Amino acid sequence: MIRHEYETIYVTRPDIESDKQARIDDKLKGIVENKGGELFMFEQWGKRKLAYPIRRSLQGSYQYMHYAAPADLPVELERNMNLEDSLIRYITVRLNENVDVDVVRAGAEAAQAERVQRLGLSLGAESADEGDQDDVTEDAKDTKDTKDAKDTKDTKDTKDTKDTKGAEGAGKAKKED
Amino acid sequence: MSRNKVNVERVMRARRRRRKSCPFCADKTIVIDYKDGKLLRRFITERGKIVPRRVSGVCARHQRGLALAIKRGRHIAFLPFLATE
Ligand SMILES: [Zn+2]
Repeated sequence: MIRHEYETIYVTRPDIESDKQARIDDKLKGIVENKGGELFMFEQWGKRKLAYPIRRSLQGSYQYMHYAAPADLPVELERNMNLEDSLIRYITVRLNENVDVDVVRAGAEAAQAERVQRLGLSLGAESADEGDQDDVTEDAKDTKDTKDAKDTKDTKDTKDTKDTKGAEGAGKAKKED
Repeated sequence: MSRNKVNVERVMRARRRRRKSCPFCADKTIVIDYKDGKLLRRFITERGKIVPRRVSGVCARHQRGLALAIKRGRHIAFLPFLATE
């Protein structure tokens, strides 16, 4: 079976109940593990300030998965992420094509260490604090977001899959420019 | 006439001074990664636009990688789309 190396980041609302978060995490992990994929790393990056508000949220809770899987698995993952109301953004990137899973698995811990170091991540605790970003108070949340026209109509199309096409792959450039 | 010449020289000198080498070619250990908001923020303006490579000195190849990373970074909200003052 041909498997590729992927990473998926998904962002949930900062005020999500912890059992709901756990249910989403378990479901997505289960999809990777039960549909011919192998999950190497699952990381809680904690709450971070969003660079722009998404559906009124100024912060998001970031989760990161590193896995190998057949090409149809990210599609299945995305289908499921789209069903979750509390999941406000995701991105999947194909890191390498047609990999030797044993080799990637063997390097996964070192890759994690490098990632943590380079990106200044603090893993683990569900509400670990964001790295270099400023703190944001929740109370701003209900004051109508002023910004970001793209956000007002986001329900469906913000959650689109950024390409699953590999590092050089033309990510759907969308309307970003 | 001679005034003109001085101007040309000044422009050329200014241009030469602005001439930078690509930071990613100069240091091969730097990884262009959409997850690295801190790095990418150096290559967007205050308004959130991608800094053109004629300003940043980034080579064409690395600018392509940078642009892709910035777009991905925006999507996942590590970077702004546009700063609304
Ligand atoms: Zn370069």
